[in-house]
Amino acid sequence: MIELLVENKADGKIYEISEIVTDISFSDRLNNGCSKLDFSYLYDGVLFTNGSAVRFKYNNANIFYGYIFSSEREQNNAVSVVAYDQLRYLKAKDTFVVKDLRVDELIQRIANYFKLRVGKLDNTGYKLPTSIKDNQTFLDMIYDSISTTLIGTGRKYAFYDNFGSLALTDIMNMRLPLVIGDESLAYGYKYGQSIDENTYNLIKISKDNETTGKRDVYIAQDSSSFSKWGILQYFEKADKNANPEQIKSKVNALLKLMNSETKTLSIEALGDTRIRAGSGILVNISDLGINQYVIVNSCKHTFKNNIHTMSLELVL
Amino acid sequence: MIEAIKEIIKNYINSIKPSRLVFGKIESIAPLTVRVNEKLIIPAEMVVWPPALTEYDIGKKVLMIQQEGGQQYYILEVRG
Repeated sequence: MIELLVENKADGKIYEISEIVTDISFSDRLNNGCSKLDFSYLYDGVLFTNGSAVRFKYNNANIFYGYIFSSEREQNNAVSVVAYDQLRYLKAKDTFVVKDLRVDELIQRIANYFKLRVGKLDNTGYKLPTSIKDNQTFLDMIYDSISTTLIGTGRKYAFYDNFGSLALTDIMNMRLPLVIGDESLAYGYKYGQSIDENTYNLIKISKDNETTGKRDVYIAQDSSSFSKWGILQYFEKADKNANPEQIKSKVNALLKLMNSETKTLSIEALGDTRIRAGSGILVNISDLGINQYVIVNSCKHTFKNNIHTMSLELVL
Repeated sequence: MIEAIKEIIKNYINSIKPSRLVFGKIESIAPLTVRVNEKLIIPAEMVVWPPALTEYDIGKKVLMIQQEGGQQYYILEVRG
C-alpha cells in the first residue's frame, strides 16, 4: 500500500497523493550521493513548489523522506517530480581542515553547520589523519574519510539518509536475513567479472626520505596472481607524515583489498522494502554457483500498478 | 558539449590541486599555524618552515608554495 505525503511549501498544507500517483521509484547508491524519489501524478489543481517535504511509505515501511528539487508538467496533465534526501545539501563545496576527528565526528560537525537532522552515527574508533579539504564537496570530504577509515581499520561504513536522519553504519550491521536467488524473488540476473578496474597485485608506495634525501619504496605483492593476470601495479606517494610502519601496513591492506577480481551481479527481483544501498543479502543462484552474502551497491525500487519490483547492483 | 568538457576539466584541476604560490598570514607560533583565508588555517604538521620563526612573526605575511594535492605547504619567505 502506497502512502505518499507532500507538505507543500506554498501553502503549508499536507497533501496525501497516494491515490493519484501513477508511478514511484526510489533509487539509492552506496556512498555515492543522495537517494532519490521520482514520482508522477495527474494534475488536479495542485502543484508542489520546490523545497516541499515528501514522505513515502510502502506497506507501512519507511522508505524515503526528502525535498522536491524539480518538477515537470506535461500538456496531458501528467506531472513528474524529483525529490532528494538531505544529503543533497552536502553537494555544496567548502574548505575544511580535518584534524583530530573521526568520520562520525566529522559528519556531526558538518550536520550542525547545515542544520541537518542526525540519527545514529556509529563511532568508528578511528581518528582520521590530518588533512586539508580545500574547495571540496562535503560529500567528498565524508566519502574520502570513509575510504581512509576502511584502509585504517578494514571496516567499511555506509553514510546515508535514513528516512530523514543522517546515518553512518558499519556495513557488517546492515546484513538482512534475506535470501535472493533463482529460487526466491529474483526473475532475472546478469553476472560479470573484471580485472579492468580496481584490481592490483603489486602495490607500491614511495616516500621521500628527508633524512637520506632518497626515495624509500614499500612493496606488497602476490606473485601467484601474476601468473593468472600479469602484473597489475598500483602506485602512490605516501602522506608526508606517514611513518614506515604505517606505510607497510597500508601496502598490505591495499593488496588485501585490491588483489581480487571485481565481480558484479545485477538482479531483477520482486521488491523487499528493507533493501537499500549498503544492505547485505544472501544471494543464491545455483546456475552461477553463487551462495554468499553480498553488498548492495545500488538499488532502484519501482512501485507501479500495485506491484513492487527492484533492480539491484551487487558487488561480490 | 564544449561547456561540459570545460566544466569537467575545471573540476579535475580543482580536485588534483596543482602546485601554486599561496599567500598566508602567521596565526600562531607554538604550534605554528598559517591562515590562508577565513576558512583555511593550515596546521603545523602540514607546513615546512624556516627555523628562524619567533613570536615576533605573528601576524606577518608569508609566501608559500603549495605541494600538489594541497596537503603540504613550504614557506618561501616571511614578509614584514
